[in-house]
Amino acid sequence: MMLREDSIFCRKPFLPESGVVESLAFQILETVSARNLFYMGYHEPDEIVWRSFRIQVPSSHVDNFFTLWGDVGFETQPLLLTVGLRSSRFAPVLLWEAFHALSPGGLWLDIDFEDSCKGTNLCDSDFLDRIYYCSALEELSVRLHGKCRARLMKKTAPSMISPLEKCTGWTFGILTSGPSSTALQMIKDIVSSAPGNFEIIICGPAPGEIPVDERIRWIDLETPEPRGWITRKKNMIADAARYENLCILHDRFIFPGSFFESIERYGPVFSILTFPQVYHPDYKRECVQRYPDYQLLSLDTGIRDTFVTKVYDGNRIFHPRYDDFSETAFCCGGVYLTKTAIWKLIRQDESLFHCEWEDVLFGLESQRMGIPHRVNPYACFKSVAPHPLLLTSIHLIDPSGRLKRSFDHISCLQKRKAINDISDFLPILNVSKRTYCEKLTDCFNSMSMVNANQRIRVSDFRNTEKLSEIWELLSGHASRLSAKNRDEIFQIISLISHMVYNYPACVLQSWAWDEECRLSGMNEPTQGVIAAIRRAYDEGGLKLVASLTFKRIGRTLGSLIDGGETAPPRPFLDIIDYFREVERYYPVIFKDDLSSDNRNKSITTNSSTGNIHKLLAEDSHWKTIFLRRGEEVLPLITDDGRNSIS
Amino acid sequence: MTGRFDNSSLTLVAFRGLWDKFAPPCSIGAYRRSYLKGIPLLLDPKLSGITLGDIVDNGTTRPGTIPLFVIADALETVEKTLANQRDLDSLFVVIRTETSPFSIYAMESGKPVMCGLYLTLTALLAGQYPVNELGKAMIVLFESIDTQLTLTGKRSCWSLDDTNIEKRLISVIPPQAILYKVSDLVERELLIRGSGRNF
Repeated sequence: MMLREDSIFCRKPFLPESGVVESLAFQILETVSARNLFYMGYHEPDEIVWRSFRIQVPSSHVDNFFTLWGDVGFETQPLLLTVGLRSSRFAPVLLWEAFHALSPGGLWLDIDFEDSCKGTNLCDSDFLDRIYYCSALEELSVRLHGKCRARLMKKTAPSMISPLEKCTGWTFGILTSGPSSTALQMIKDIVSSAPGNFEIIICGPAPGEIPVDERIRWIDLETPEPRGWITRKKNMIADAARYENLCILHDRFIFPGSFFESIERYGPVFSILTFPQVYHPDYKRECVQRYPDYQLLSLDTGIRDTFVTKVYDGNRIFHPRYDDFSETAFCCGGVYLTKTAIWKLIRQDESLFHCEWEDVLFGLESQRMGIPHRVNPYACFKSVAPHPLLLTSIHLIDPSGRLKRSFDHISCLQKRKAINDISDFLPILNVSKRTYCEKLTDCFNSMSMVNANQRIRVSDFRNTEKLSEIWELLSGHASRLSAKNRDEIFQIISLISHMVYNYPACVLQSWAWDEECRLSGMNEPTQGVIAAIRRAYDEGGLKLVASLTFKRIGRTLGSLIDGGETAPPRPFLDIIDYFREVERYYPVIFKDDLSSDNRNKSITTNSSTGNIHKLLAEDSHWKTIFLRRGEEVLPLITDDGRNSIS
Repeated sequence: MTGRFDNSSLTLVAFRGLWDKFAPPCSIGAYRRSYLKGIPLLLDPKLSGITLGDIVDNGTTRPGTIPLFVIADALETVEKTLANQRDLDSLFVVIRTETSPFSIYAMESGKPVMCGLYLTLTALLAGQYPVNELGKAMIVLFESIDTQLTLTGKRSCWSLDDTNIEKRLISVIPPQAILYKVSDLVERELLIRGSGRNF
């Protein structure tokens, strides 16, 4: 198979000394009795190989969607020759496909630069020496010639996974956390569309009245866990699964009608997959946003250390194109499609909880074992809820190595509608303003350092409308609190965690530490409030200092001093800034922001296929997806939205 | 087989357990979390009001896997608690004294054997680096500047720097000795290390 790859994927040249590959291939293959050779490489095989074997060399395009199932089926090939595959970023994908094309007892001659067979940043072992492969491949010989290594292997056992008849059943696992009409609808949709053998396992509190059907089971954690023990729940589903094909879902999706068709099209020899996932912020479903579905960790150094720390810097996580691949790419935890045997080989790390990057670690561990995380692009899951990170995430683009905020995932259409057609927007919070303020008030007043005079009431928020205004008011109250120690600072910081997003402890602790440093005079900044005060004092003395107005908190320093206040914690100011930006693109915040007409409005059920296809298929719309630019691992995108290579 | 690493290379010790917004510092929940995530921990019954017995009886520990450093005023109190516990291979007792550094004992066949030193932040602030004793220690714990919890005035700990302390200690302890940093903000430390910025 002659492989071709788009230049945007920056494949490294595989240019061995003249005649080396042919010489190695001929010497080794002449001892082999099989005559039907399946070839995979980026260059046409030499005539000497042509002459000696019955060989077909069709051309095939390589990207993250590459599969061999449709061309050669499963474990059909007695003899494989792969050449220079590691020159491609898709090497783990190509080797996965090649391995499953090779029949048990078949031979595999792999020729590549010796240096590229010494492992990667993720793992010391070459791809074919990783856990998934090593028990089924026996090395028969290794020859070196120039910079090249030729390795002859025999497949001594069938692959761990099988698409054969007996393995066609499906287990669907749905994670729930309480009443959920979406989960109930997902169950209905699966039941109505699943062909053949299947079962549905609900894991978590019952979402409602579960249909009586022997194919539907309900399991749960032994005791409730407030952190969201999704790793345990997913492992429980895999342990309970009766069937070999496993699909694990969170209860926020519309199950696509084209699901089984997409499996048919992709083929049954899959590793770990997810699907494109989108969210529509509007009733008419005209605006389409990519949901966190397939991401990658971009870390230049220290990636192996993260297997120990199990903590990741969210700023280093990006959305690649669906057709792109990296060894550090991972399927986000909302939708997994895999084989039960694969899941049981890896399992999710149960020391991690919701929002603790359990999916990143799962992805890295899978790839370290030789199991690539990929995308099935032939179906699309729609989330009925915005991602919790919507209110927090700072989407990043880094054209020059600098991290910055970006709203590039917001389409032009959404930007226009946010100005002209507010009434078509769904609320981004599924609560009324009163309910939100009640929870906020409860959280604030329950902090140990809040005395009777400092307590807040829901009515304090009556003149606020937007989220940013609510948090501005709250931060004013927070700045009047006088924290005496870390635990009290942590309580204040945790308000964001209670109300906005379940930030992991590492982030909250980092914010608390920064706040401690600020309050106790460590790391005096050169920018921001403190620096401004210092500059004003140097220039105009106390009078000028007292007259300073700080835009973000809307007060003069004098008023802060009179009121015994300090500047609000930095994370509060950041979140207020961020909310202001969010409100530009999502004009409806609370359920009761809508007019009564809108409240009765139902989501358009007409398919928005047109827009989704644009999002998924057209180059020009990749720009609506947040990408990190200018990095080797990702294609470059020019200003007109076209792919290019510099 | 998952191919996971253990956490021994982290060399961090949780000062008040692995606390978070659900499990306050020095709570059973924080100690349990520390065990779950494989982070060695320090237990100061005086500070936490939780005894070694509470942790052991609670089934929180995973004996033999994660170092547990218990602070006591006398070895006898720990010995009594341990009388019926045979599996705590990785238990160490830190004996608190009037003068720093504290001594660390390992329990070997039910008997305490001195194996290292614990340097408090107070001792470090006072510039106490007992070079001779450190040169013989097999385990050395030092308190990070983040173990100072109060916010009154300018913190005295700002005059120190964990990295410098670590460097200084590495230069005097035996090559095979293990140096642990006792931190109250372990997960912040992990974030820094996991982001490839400072590992």
